[in-house]
Amino acid sequence: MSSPSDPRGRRADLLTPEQLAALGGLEFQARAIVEGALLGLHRSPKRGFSSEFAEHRNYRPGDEIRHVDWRMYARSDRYYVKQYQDETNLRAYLLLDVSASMDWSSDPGRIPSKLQVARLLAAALALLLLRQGDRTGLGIFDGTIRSWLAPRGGRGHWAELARRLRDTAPGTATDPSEALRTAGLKLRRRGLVILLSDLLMEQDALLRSLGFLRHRGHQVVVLHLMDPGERDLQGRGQVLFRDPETGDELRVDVTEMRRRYRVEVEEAVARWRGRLGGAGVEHHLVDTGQPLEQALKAVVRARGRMG
Amino acid sequence: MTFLAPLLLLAAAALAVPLLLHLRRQRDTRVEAFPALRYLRSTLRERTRMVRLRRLLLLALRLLVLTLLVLAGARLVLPLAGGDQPPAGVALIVDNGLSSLSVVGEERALEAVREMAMEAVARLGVDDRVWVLATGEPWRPAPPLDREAAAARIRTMDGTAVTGDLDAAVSRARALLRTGSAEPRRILVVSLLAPGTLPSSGPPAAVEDDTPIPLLVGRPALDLPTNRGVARAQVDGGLAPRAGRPISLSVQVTGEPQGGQPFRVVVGDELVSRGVTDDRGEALVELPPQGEGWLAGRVELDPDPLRADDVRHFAAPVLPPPRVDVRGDPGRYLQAAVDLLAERERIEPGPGGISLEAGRPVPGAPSAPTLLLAPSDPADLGGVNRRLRELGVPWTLEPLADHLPPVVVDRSDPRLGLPQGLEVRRRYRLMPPSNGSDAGIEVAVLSDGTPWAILHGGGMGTAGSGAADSGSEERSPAVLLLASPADPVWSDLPTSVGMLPFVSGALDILAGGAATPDVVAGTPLALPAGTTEVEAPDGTRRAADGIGGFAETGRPGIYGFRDETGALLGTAVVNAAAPTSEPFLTPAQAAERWDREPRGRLIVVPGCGE
Repeated sequence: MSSPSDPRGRRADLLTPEQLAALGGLEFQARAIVEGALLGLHRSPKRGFSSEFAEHRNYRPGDEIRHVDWRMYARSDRYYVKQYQDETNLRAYLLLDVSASMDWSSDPGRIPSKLQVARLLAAALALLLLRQGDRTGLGIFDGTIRSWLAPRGGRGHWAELARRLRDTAPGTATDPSEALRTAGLKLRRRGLVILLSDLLMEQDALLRSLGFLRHRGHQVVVLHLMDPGERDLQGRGQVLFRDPETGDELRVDVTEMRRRYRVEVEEAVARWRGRLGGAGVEHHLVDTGQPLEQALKAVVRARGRMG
Repeated sequence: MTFLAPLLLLAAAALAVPLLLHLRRQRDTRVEAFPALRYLRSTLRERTRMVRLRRLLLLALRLLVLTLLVLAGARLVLPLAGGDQPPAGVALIVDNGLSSLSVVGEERALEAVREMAMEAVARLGVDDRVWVLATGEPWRPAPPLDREAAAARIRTMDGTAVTGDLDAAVSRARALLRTGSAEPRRILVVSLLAPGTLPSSGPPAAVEDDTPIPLLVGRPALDLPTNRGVARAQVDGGLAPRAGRPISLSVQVTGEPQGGQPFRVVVGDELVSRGVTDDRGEALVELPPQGEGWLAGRVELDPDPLRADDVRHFAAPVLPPPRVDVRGDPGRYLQAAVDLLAERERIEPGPGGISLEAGRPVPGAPSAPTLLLAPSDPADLGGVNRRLRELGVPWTLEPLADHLPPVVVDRSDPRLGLPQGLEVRRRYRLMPPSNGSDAGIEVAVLSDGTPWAILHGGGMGTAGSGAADSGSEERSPAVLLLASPADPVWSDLPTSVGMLPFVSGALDILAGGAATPDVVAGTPLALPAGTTEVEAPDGTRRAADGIGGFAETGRPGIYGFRDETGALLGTAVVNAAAPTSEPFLTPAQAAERWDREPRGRLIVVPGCGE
C-alpha cells in the first residue's frame, strides 16, 4: 500500500489537484501535500528544545547534559541529545476568497474549481505552519467576512480549521476591502498574511487594503489562483460569456480573440505582480491545473524570511 | 464589357454563401459562465472595432474573390482602348478552315480559334467597326459589324473543309479596310497557320497607300496531332470509265503515316473493295464493271483526329466507247494517242461518230461532233476556216507572228486534263465572232489571256461562263477547236503526259460526257450551261445565279448540276486538300510574310504559339 505522501510513487505536492482529488478528503489531501513538501524541504525550519520532540542527534561538546537521552545511551552505548520542535511567536493568517467567481472550473469533470484548490491549499498551508509551531488563523470572505478563526496552535486547531474550510459554501461578489481591513484590525501582532484569491476584483481597492496590512507590519503573500481556462480561452466560434458574480454578459468570437486574450491575461498578471511587488507584497500565481509544490515553497520561503 | 461565357454568371449565386455565413455567425452563439470577464472586456475594448472591421473586410474579401472567380469563369473582357479613342476599323481574319476541324483532346481546334477571336473582339471599342473574314468560307460576304454582332458571328462560325488562303484573306481585309472610313485600321489574324494556308506563290503585292495597316497575328497554343488522309482517288487514270469494262481506282494516302493504311471503297452505299496502301501510300484496286450512267463513290480511311480528309469522293460518267473517225493528217502523236485509246477499247475507230480532224481538211466530212486541231501549214487555214463555218462555228483561225515569246496554259477545263503551265510556243489566233453572240466556251486559256481552245455548239455545257448556245433552232454539232496542231514544235502537248487525257477528255466531252472535275474544297465550281440548281452533298439544292459559278464548296462530296427540268447535267467532286508533312508556321513567320505593307507594323501576339 502506498503512503499518503507518495500514492503513485510520487510526492503528493507534485501531484496536480486533479490527481490529489483521488486521494480522499480535504484533510487527507492536505496531509499528503505537507508530507511531500517536507520531504522536499529536508528539514523542519525551526527546531529547539522546548515542547515537542523532533529527533535525535549526536552529542557535541557544549550541549547541555540534561538533553542527553540516557535511554538511548543505555541501548547503544553512545550519547544522543533530544531535539524538540519549537513553538514560535509568529502568527499566520490565511485569508480565503470564497466569492462566486472562485467556484468555477473550465472543465468541471477534470479540473477542480479554484475554490476547491484554494481550500486544499489553505488546509495544507495551515498544517505546514502549525507543524512549524506557528499560530495560524483563518479568515473566509466574499463581500464580507463569512468566518473568522483566531490564530492558535496545536493539532486540534488544524482539525477545526480544516472543518471550516470544508464546510464553507461559495459566496457572492468579491469585495476584499472590508474583509482585509477587519482582518488588519483583528491582527494585533505582526504576522504572515496569506491571501488566496482569483483576484477578479478592483486592483486599487485590494492594493489599498493590502497596503493597510503592510502598514501594520505584516508580511503579505498573495496566492493568485487561476484556472487554465482563464489563461487560455477554450472552444471556438461565437460565445456569450456570463459573469457568475455580476451576471454581465459579453459576446465574443473565441477564435478571433484567443491570441489577444492570452496576451491581455499575461499583461494583467504582470500588472498584479508589478503593483503588488511595488507595495511589498509577494505575488505567486497558482495554476489550478498544476501541482501545488511551488505555492507551498513560496509560502515557506516567505515564512523563512520572517525568522 | 463583354462576357464570353455569360451563362457562368449564374455562379454569382455563390456570393450568397459568405453572406449567409456572415449572418449565421452573428446568430449562432452559445452561452457559458466565465468569471474572468474583466480580462475579456479589456481585450474587447481594444479589439472590438478592429475585429468588426476585420470581419467586414473578410466578408468583402470573400465576396471579391468569388466575384472575380465568377467574372473569370464568365470570361469578362474589357476593352483595352479608352473611351476617348476614335472608332477603329478592324478586319478580323478567323481561320475556320480544314485544320480547325482537327480534334485536339476533347474538342476541335476551332474552339481555341474562336476563343482567341472572341477575346480579340472583346478588346475592341464599342464604336469600332469589324469585318469578320472566315478563311474557311471565302465566298461569304463580310459586312462591317459592331462588336456584339462580330462576337455573335464568331460564336456561330463553324469549320469547313476549305484550306483557307490567308494571303487572299489579308488582301481582302486590306481592300475592305480601305473602303471604310474608320481610323485607325488594323488587321487581326487568328489562325492555326497550317501548311497550305499560305500558298507558296507568295502574298500579293501590297497596294501603295498613305495609311499603313498594322497587322496582328495570333495562333492558339495547340499541339496539333499528326494527320494523314486520302490525297487521290482517281478512276481510270482520270479518264471517263467505259461501260461494262473493269474500272481501276488509284488511291494515294499522304501525311503521317501513309504506308500500310487500310482503306475501303464504297460505291453508292455498297462496300465494293478494300485495300492497304504500300510504303509510298499508294494502292491500285479494281472496281467491278458498271453500266452506263454515273459512278459515284468514296475511299475511306479509319478516322484520325482530322476526319475531313480521311474520306475522298470520286465520280465519273460511265460511257460506252465513242466511235471516232480520224480524218486528214493527224500526225504521229495524235495518231498514237488514238491507237492507244482504241487498243484500250476506250474508243471504236470508224465512221458514224465523232470526227477527229487535223491537218488539211478533207472534203465530204460529216456534220458531226468534231475535234478539230489547227493545221501545221498556215496555207491550210482557209480550208479549216471554211470547215468551221460548215460546222456552224463562228470562230476563225488567223496566223500569228512566229517570233512571239512562248506562253503557257493558264487555265483549262479540268476534263481536258491539260497540265497547268504547259508551254505553247506557236499557235494561231482564235478570232471570236464579231457580233459577240454564240461565242461558245473557252476551254483553255493561255497566260496572255487569249483562248487556245474553244468548245462550240452541241448544247453541251462545260466549265466556264455557263453561256448556252442560242440563236438557232437547229443545233450545230459540238466542235472542240485547238489553236495549235499536235506538233512538238508548236507546244509541249504532244510529248507531255497530258496528251492522252486531252484526246480522251476532248472525245468524251464531244460524246456527251467526261470525267468529273475533282477540286479542292473552297474552289468555285464552274457550272455547265443550263444549270439552274446546284445540289450539295447533303442533298440541299441552291439556285445557280449563272454568273460566277458556285462558290460555297466548303463541304466535301459530290455536287450535282441540274437544269430547270431537274435533269443532271454534270457533277463535280469536292474534296479536302491532301495532307502534307510540312510543319505549321509560327506567327512570326506568317507576319514576316505579310510585313510588306508599306510602313506597316508587325505585332505578334505574346504567348500565342512561338
